[in-house]
Amino acid sequence: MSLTSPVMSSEDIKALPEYQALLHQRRLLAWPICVTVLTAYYSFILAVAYYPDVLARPLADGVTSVGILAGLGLILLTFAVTAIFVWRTNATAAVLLAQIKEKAEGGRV
Amino acid sequence: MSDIFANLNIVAVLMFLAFVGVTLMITYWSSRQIKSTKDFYSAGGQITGFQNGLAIAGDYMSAASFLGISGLVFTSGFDGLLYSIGFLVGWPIILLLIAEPLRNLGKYNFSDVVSFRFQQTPIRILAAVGSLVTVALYLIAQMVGAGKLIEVLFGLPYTSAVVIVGVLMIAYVTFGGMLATTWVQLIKAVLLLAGATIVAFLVLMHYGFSFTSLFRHATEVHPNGSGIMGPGGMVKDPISAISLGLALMFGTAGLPHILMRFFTVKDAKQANRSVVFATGFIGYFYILTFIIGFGAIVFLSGNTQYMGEDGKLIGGTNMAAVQLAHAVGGDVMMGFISAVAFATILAVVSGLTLAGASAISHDLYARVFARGEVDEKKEVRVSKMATVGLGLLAIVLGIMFEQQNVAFMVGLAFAIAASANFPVLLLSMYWSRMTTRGAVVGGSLGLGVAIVLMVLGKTVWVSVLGNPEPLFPYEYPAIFSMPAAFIGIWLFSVTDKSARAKVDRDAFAAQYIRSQTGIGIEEGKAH
Repeated sequence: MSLTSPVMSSEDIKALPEYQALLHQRRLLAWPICVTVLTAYYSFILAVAYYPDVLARPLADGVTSVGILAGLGLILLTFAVTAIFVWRTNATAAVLLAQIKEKAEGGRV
Repeated sequence: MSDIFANLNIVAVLMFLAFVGVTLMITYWSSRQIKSTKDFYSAGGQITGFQNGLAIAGDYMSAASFLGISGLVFTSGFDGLLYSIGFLVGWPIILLLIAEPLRNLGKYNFSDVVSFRFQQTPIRILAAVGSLVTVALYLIAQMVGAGKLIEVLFGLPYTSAVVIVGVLMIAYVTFGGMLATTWVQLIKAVLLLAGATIVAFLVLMHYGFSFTSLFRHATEVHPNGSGIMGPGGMVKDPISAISLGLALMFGTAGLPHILMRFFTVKDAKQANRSVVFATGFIGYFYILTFIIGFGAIVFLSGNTQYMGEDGKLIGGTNMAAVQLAHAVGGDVMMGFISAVAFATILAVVSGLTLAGASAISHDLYARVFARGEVDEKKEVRVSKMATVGLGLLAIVLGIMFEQQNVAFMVGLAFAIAASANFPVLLLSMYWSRMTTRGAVVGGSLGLGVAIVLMVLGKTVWVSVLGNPEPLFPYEYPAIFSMPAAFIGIWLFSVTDKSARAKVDRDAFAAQYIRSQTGIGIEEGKAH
């Protein structure tokens, strides 16, 4: 456990530009998604608690309410952000990860 | 018992027997594949991202959520969405923060991850206790739900129903391990998704696939009228609303039987993919339950075949989905949905029991009692013994707690998962200054505060213990117990000056790199 890889120390891996780029990319992707989901969900919850009338208001068809649309929107948003995250991660992070592993495990430093 | 239920037994029983036959064959096949602890706990790591996503969705689509949420929509409309959404929004958080590090750091269960850099004995005990309490509560809820359901659907006495579920579950897990448990879950998930899709389709077809017509008709026949389109009485005050939201959202990330599924896939990439599939299936499923709930409002309200003279649904509101299946698809459809509901319970309790058994054998026995000096065969044997023990315990508890409110037990399980398991797991992955002492104190605080507040709240203090006023005015404890855990971990970590604290902190750098890249994981695979 103390030895991260056979040829490189933790400090060496940490110093790799590819590793820094990987962390940077993940944060760049993860933070906006985290903030979006938390904001959307807690706005919804707070609306349920403080503004139930707004959620109960009917849309143009006269029946379907704002709340039901918002709820279905949240379900779709949840799926969309997970799909975007994994799609982006598999496209870009995988390449960096392979480079880091090659250096760390192949010892070509 | 009403006529609809009495006539139906044959179809439901035949379909259920077919399910049991197939799953027992799979269990036999699985039992021949199990050669190591990795095979037993994590299906040898051979499950694909798609299969795992479906299995995770299967763990979520329990009988409680299928029957419970559609029943809730049937009685109060919009409020049913609150639970669905709460259960779902935890997934992006799991994906962004937990899935990949979890897969990269652990072998079989989340205890492996939280104990990665800390002192094994105290952390394993903490994680095992957290797992076992969560699993036990969830298991009781499922067993009670199962007993009630089967009592109504098949006309079997409550006790025999609980015993049948317990015995089948022990068979699946003991002989087939995670491989059989996963396949049982997969088959059931496909059946349940198919059944729910057909029922929802038949409902929508009746309204020419117009939600507006469906909603309009529902508001015309429901006693609450257009009130069902907005928030009703379920969440009374903002504190309770946020507290419930916290427990549902973060509880998911602390459920041991869900976290355990991330070790059944090959690598972190597949773990990530499984979250996308799981979120898709779960989201789709919740949309179906919403349609089914509204379908139940329009098809069942005022129909004397389904509603008793007291104006309530025959068999209880939890039967809304089953009754609706009869209304739109006749005896065959209702038999199918009944059999699937029974299968659902079996699949979910199997996963729970396996997670509980791993806490006993992999954490308490192998790491704490035997201090890591144990061979794989013995660990698997202990695990099987633990499964039998937990199965018997589940039967006994299921019978003892027959009168308990199922939704409350599930809520409690989520609150404890969010307060005891999740904070320790999250901070152990991301906070370099955390120490063994902080983890143990904070985790115990989260667990303790959650339990105490639940006992002092209305459901236990007033309804069960018969006191006039609750000492804790809110229904859900997470808004207090989660901060208690985080503050506890922080305070007792930063003030920790012990030699062990230095070891804990020094190990963070290497752990973090492994959690982000998976480097070093190969040693775990070599056997």
